[in-house]
Amino acid sequence: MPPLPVITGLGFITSIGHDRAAVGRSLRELAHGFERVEFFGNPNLPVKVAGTIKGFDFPTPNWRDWRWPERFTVDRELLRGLAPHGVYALCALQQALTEAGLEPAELSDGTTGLFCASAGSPFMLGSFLGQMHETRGERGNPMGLVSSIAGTLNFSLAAHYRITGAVCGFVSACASSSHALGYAMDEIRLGRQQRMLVVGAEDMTAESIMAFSSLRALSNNPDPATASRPFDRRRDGFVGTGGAVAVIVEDAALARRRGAHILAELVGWGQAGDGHSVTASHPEGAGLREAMRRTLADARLNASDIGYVNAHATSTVAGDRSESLALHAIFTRQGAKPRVSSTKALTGHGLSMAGVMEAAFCALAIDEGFIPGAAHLEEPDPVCAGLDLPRVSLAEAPGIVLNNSSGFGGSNVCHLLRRPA
Amino acid sequence: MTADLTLRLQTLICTTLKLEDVRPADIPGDEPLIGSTRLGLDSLDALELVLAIEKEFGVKIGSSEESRQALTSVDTLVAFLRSRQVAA
Repeated sequence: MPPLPVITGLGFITSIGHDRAAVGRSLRELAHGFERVEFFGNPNLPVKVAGTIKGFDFPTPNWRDWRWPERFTVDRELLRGLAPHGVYALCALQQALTEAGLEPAELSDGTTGLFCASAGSPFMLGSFLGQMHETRGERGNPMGLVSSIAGTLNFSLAAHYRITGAVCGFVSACASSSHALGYAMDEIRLGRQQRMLVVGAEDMTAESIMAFSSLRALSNNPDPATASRPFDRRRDGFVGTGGAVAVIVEDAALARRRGAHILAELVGWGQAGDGHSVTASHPEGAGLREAMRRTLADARLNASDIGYVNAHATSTVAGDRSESLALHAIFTRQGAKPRVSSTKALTGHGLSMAGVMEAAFCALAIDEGFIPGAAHLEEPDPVCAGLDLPRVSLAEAPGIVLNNSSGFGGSNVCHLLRRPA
Repeated sequence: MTADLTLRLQTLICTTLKLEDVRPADIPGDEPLIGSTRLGLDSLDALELVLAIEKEFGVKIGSSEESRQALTSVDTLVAFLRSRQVAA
């Protein structure tokens, strides 16, 4: 039997809470993390709502102006190589390591790796390039490059924690951190690493989020209580968010030897491309359907074994429809009817970090024995008929959980999690 | 005029590097800027200072040797700017 990857620690800096207790409460009570925002100081923009990260402030790209909650430690030397999402990530990883009972000094012997996902920082990159243009290339912030480009997250965290195992960043848009988690599982299963730190993070800035307005992917609904409503007939786009989520993945044998609490086992993953469009999902969810099929095959499970699906559904008209059709193909047609919800109704869409954020929610739900409800769903799209979308969170063990993610170019990635045996 | 230029530089150092616990007039003219335990500045701070000084006074600080010498202290910065005919 190959080593079994398990989750032993979670850390959250999200719109719905900055620790496990707050996030669990928000998921059970369906308390959303949205606020009215005015991006670029422009009241004329149609996008009015975002999943804000409370207690953190990044008013300028100058790290000296940044603020974060006092309970987190961020040292100055590290700070100037970070983007805002790097600060979030550091705070999330500190929590995850504490929950897993690990000291930073235990991470540098080569048996621990680090896989990260972020889209880089358009906020920092814009400032860095602006400075280069202003000085016609004669001057640039020496930390401008490493704090802004895709990969900034793994550069900074790997150096800070002195990681000498596998280190990599993943870039597949909104499937990025799902790829990071899937390949982290493989590192454990192949015996290459005994422990993997998996971190997804994104800035919560106008530069990161408003770029999606040009694609007409964002909700123009000004009401924080209804702007994000996956699977609802009146949905009109996603609500953006940022933050960071960290997950500690370990070989089950090591976790048991250490006496660590195991929140969930990671029993399978899979991926498939749509082969269809750079931005739009396949109209029938062909890639996601195949990714789910491959994931079930990886775990040698059937559709009827699944108790809960944390859907990717972002609240866009086309995307939620595609996923519904894919879910029907995998479940409804086999007579299976797992509970389904999209927690993006509460958090907003965390882009690169969405996959690992939702995998962490699934682990939390398994560990604490509840199923997050389908928040803000009032009038289900007719295409959802036959899917079990509970309107409230349920105090019942979710059984085996499937977590879906999809990204640009039709990248679809799924994971399966279950309660430790 | 030198006193004005000195205060302008002291203020620029405090605002650029957001030295919250240091008042501009409290930076002695001969205190080493880099490596001073009180100011706690390092080479990356120095580079930020070079950018700010170039922008504020419209001068170019060419080589790293020139920058190292100019940034020794507030007094050496004043002398450097004087040599470039910068008025307060």
